[in-house]
Amino acid sequence: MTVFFHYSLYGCANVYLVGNDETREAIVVDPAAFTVGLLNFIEEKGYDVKAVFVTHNHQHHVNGLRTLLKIYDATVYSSNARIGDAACRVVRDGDSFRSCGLAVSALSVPGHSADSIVFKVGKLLFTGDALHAGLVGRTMSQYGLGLLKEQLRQKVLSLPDDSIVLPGHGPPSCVAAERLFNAGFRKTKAETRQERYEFFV
Amino acid sequence: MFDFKRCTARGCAATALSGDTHCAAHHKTPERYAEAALERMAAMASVKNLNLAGLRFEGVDLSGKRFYACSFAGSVLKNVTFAGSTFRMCFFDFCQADSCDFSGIDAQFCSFAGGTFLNASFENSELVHNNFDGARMTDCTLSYSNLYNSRFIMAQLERTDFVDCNLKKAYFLLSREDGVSWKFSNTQEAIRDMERLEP
Repeated sequence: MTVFFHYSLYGCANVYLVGNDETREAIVVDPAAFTVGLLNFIEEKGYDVKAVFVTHNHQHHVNGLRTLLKIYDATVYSSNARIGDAACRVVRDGDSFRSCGLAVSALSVPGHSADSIVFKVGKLLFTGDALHAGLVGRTMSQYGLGLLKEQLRQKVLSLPDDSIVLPGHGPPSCVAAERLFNAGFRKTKAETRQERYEFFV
Repeated sequence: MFDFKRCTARGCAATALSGDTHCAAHHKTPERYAEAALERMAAMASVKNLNLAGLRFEGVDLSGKRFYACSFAGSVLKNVTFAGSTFRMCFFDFCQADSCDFSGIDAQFCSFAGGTFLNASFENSELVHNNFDGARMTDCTLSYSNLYNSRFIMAQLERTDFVDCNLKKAYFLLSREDGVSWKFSNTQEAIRDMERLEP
């Protein structure tokens, strides 16, 4: 398996290409943009894109999907039934499947958006906007933030230390580093106050 | 990417060293494995998909090489020079680097999170899109480097220089700084508080 990363200027997002070196099939994760440069790169490497993983349906992660599907006959995996005019194969929390000869599992982590999914390929975690290096995804409410942190703790931070976090924005990380150095998991003043209150009551 | 074969030692969840059945912690002779890996690397200009996590390297010259998808996570690096090397998607998480030379490197999309860097030089480097979260840097220099989109969240920086650096979109959230020089750097473009985070 080979993983390539492409920095998309549209939304400053990360696009990943996961290639199976034996079958020469490839997965594109979050096609924020599908540029000529990326197309040429895929063709130079001799890959045939057979699958697209969409971690969540935000425009700056799927803007290149339509172009990609005009060129490659790929199956789109998402927790949505449709993205734009593309039909998707719906994945749900805990689903395991094979794509391009690789074992994949899907972990639902709602909070940043209701459809947020982490795709786990071996020890690679494509976390989209749910988890970034040092930060958790932005949410619309305190409820969403609490839900996201709980889901991440249960499903992502419980994975082995050397699992690699490949987020939708920013640099890569590993699970051990996120457990220790993620500012999003620091307790807020309100949480600390609540804990103290519960201790005394 | 290197293979994610699990270490065969009972109860160990770590990834085995490249071409081996054990991780560095459970390898019978990690020193020999490290020596053999160095011999192999000496003959290569490009080093790809190598997992060297947890090994110890001392007094080694790995300058001018190109590293792709390699892991030095948790490794102990003493007097190692990587000067002028290129790194893409490489991992130095929780490494312990003492007196190492990373000057003039071109590192993109790499992680140095949780690493301890003592007397290390990253001067004149392209450090774009890298993760230094939780890194402890003492007596280090990153001067004259491009740190665009790199993160130093919860990093501990002591007597470390960031002179004339590009700090655009560099995150310094909850970092501890003591004796840090930001001279001639565009500190206004760095992100220092949560309120400035982009949606």
